[in-house]
Amino acid sequence: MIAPLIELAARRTTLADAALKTDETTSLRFAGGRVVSAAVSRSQGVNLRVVAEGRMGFAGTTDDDAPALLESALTSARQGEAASVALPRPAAKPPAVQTHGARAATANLAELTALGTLVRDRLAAEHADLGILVERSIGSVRVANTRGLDAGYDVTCVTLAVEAARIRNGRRVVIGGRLAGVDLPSLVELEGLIARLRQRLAWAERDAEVPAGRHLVGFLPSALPLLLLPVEQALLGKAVLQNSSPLGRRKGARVYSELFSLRDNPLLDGRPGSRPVDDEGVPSRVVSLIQAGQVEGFLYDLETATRVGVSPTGHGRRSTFAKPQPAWTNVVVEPGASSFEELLGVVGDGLLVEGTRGAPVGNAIGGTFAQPAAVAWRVSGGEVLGLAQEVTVAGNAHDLLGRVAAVGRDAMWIGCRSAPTLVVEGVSVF
Amino acid sequence: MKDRLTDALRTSRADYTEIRLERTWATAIAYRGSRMEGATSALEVGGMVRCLNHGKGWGIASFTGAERIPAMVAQAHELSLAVPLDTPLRLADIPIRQADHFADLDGDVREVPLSEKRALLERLNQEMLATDRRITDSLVSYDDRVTERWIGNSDGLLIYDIKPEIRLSAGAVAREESFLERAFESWSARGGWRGVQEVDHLFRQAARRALALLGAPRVRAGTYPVILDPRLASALVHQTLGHLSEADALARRPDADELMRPGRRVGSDLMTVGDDGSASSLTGSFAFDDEGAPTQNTLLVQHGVLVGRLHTRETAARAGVRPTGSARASSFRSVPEARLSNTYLANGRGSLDDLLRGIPFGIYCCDAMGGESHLGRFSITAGWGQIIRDGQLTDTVKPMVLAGDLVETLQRVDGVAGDFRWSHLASGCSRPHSGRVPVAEGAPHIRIDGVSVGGETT
Repeated sequence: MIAPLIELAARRTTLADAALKTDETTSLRFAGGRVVSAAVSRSQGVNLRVVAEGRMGFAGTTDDDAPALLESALTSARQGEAASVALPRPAAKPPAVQTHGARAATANLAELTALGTLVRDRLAAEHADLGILVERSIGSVRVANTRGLDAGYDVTCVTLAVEAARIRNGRRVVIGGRLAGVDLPSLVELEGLIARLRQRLAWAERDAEVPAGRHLVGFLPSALPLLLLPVEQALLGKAVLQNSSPLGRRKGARVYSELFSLRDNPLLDGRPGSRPVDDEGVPSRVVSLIQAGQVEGFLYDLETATRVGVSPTGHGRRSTFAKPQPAWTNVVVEPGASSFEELLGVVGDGLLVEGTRGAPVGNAIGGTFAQPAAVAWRVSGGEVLGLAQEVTVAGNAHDLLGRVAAVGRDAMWIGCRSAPTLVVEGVSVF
Repeated sequence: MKDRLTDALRTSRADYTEIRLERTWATAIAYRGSRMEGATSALEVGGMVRCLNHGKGWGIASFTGAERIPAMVAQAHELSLAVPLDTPLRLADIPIRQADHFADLDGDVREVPLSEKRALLERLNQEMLATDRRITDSLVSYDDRVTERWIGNSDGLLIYDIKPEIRLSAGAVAREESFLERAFESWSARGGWRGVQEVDHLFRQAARRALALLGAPRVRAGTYPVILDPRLASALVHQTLGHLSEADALARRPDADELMRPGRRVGSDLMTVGDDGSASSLTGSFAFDDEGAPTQNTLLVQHGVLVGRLHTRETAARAGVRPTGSARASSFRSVPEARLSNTYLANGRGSLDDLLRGIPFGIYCCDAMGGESHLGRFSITAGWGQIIRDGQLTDTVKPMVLAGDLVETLQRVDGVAGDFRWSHLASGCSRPHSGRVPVAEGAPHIRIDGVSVGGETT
C-alpha cells in the first residue's frame, strides 16, 4: 500500500514519507524436554509522516485504509508544531548488507524444532530443568517518500534462548544463554553456547561468599548492558537536544578510559540489527561514538539532526504508532587483548557479573545504579570459586567506564550488542 | 466482526478453538518543556486464534487486520498438532455466555477533536511550568484509547465488550543552582473525556513535590519504624504478594511455588489481600477476562495466611479449582496469562494519626517509584518521605529504598489504618514479553515496626 499512499499524500501535502513493516514470527517453546506451545504471529503496520502548511503530523495503522491514515496524519499536522525535515532523495549507490538468511526463511517447523531438541539432547547429562525458545522471523521493511525514494529490504532473524535451572539448597539457580542471527545458527555457534552453559552450571555447583566493599568487577558480555545503557542513551541525538545527556556538551573530550571504544555499525552482514537504510530512507553508515574514551559523535534521525543543526546519521527508527526516534542498530564495543585467564588475574579477588535482575530505577541516563546480580561469580586468586548469592552491585556507569582495568578479547554477540568482558575498578558490592 | 468470528469458528477442525478480535482507536499527545513532541492518532485491528487438540498443546496464531481469520484458524490447528504432550492439557469449565457488554464511555474520546485534547494538555503543562521559576522542564503526556473486543470459542461462548481507557502523566523538573529534582504524578481511568476535567491538581502537585525535594536531605541508611502511605503500601502488596499469586508464573517456578504454599503465614494478622477484577469502575476492572471467564473478587491472603491464587482456565484445571477470571492479555498479540487487576490490602481501623502516635523517631514513606522483588526478598523505592519525630510529621526527605525479607517484613506490620484509597496510576502493570495491562492498587496507611531503609538510588 506504500506507493499509492505516498501518491495520495503528495496531492495534499508539501512532503510525506512512510515506512511499511511486515513480520511473521514463529515461536516454539520447550519445557520439560518437549515443545509445549507453537505460535505464529503475523503483523503489518504503516507509519506515515506529513508536512502540511508548515506543520508536521504523524499517524499509524495496521489496517489497509490509506485515505483514513492520511486524514489522521493531516489532523495530527494541524495540531503539530511548525517544523519540517529534509527528506532524503534516492541514494545513487545504497550500501549493501546481508539482512536475510535463505535457510532461515525456508526452515520449516520440523527444522526449527530440531534446533531446540539438539540443545536439549546436548545438555541432557546436566540434569537441569531446561526452558528453550526457538524463534524465527521473516519480514520486510519498505520506506518511501515524496522525493522519489522507494527503498526496501527483506529481513530474517533466528533466536535461540536457553535457560538451564537447578534447585540447590532450596534456591533455583538459572543460567541463561542466547544466540541470534539473520540465519540459522552454525554448529560452531551452537557448541559455543552449550559449552558456556555447561561451564556455568559447573561453576554454580559451589557457593562463595563475597565480602561487602569496593571490588574489581568483571562485567561479562551478558551483564555489560548495565554499564552500556546509560552511555547508549546519552549518545542519542534526542538526549542532546533535550539537554538531558551528560555527554551532550562534551564532544571531543575524553570522558572514559582509553581502553573503551564504542561504535554503531548497521552494515555488519548477518546481524539482526543491520540494514542498508534507516526507517526514514537515509543510507546507513558506521558511526564512531567513543574512540579511546573520547566522545566523537551522536546518533541522529532526521528531526533531531535538523533541530540540532547537523547531518542525519541514518539512525531513525519508527514503529507503527510513534514518530521516528534516533536509535542504535548494532552496538559494538571494541574488544581488547586479554584472554579470559588474564581477565581473571586482573580481577584477582573480586567478582564476575553474568547478569543483573530487574530494570534500573530512577534516572537511567545519569548512570547511577544499584542492581541485584541475577548470576555472579566469586573470583579469588584469579580463579572462579563459585556462585555469589544475593549480591548487589552499585556505582555510576559513567564513572566506572573511566576506570576500566582490562578488556577481554572475548567479544560476543548478545542480541544487537557485541561486547567483550570489561573489568572495572571500584564497584560497590554488597 | 461478530459474523467473521463465528464463521471462522465453524471452519475449525480443532477439538477446541478460541478467537479474540480487537479494534482499538488511540490518541497520544506529549510535551517536553513548552515544546510539543507530537500529537498522533492510531487505529489498530487484529486478533488471536488458539487451538487445542486431544493429547496436543496450544497452537497459537496472532495477526493484524481481520481479513484472513479462517486461514489463521487452520494455521493454529496445524501448530497444535505439532505439539504432542505426555500429560493432556485440560481447561477448567467456565460459564458459556452470549453477551454484549456496553460500558459507560463517560464522554466518548473518539468524538473529542484532537485540538481539544491538545489544548487541555497544553494548559496543564503551562500551568505546571508557571508554578515557580525553578520549574525548568516538564515531561507530560495524554493518552486515550477505546478497544472493542470480541471473544468466541467452539463451546458456544460469544462475548462483545467495549473498554475505554484514559491516562495523564505529569513530570516536573525543578532546578536550583546545581540541584535537580524530578517528581511524577499520574492518573488513569476506565472512562472517557469527562474524567479528565478534574485532574488539574496532579500537575500542581508534581511541581510542588519537585520544588519541595530541592534541598531536602537524604535519610541516613538504617532500620526504622516506617509508615507507608496508601500508594506505597498498595504498590508493595501488588509487587510482592500480588505477583507471587499468579498461578502460571508459580507453575514455572518451583521455589516460588513452595514459598507461596497455601496455608502458609506470610504476614501479620492485620493483613488481608485480594484481587478484584469485578469491582465497579476501577482502572483494572472488566466484566470478562480474555478467555471469556467472568471476573470476581479473589481473596489471596486472609489475616496473614495464604488462601488463594489467580488462575487461567489451564492453571485452574491443573489445581482442581475454578478459574478466577484473571486471564488477561495486553492486546491481541499476547496470550492470556494469570495477571493482577485491582489488587488491594483490605482496610483496618483508625487514622494516620493513630499510627503516628508512639513513634519517637521514624519515617513516613510515600509514593512508589518502582521496585524489584525476587522470591522472598523485595526492594521498593519511595518517591519522597517525611521524618517522624515524637509522633509528628516533620522535614521532607528525598527518595529512598526500602528493602528486606518479604515475610519477615510483612509479619512486622503492626498497624493498618481505616483510610483505604485506590491508586489509578497511568503506568499500569508490565510483564516482559507480555506487555502492559491497566491495573489499580489500593490500601490504607500501614505501619511496619522496622524496615531497612537505604539512601536514594538516583
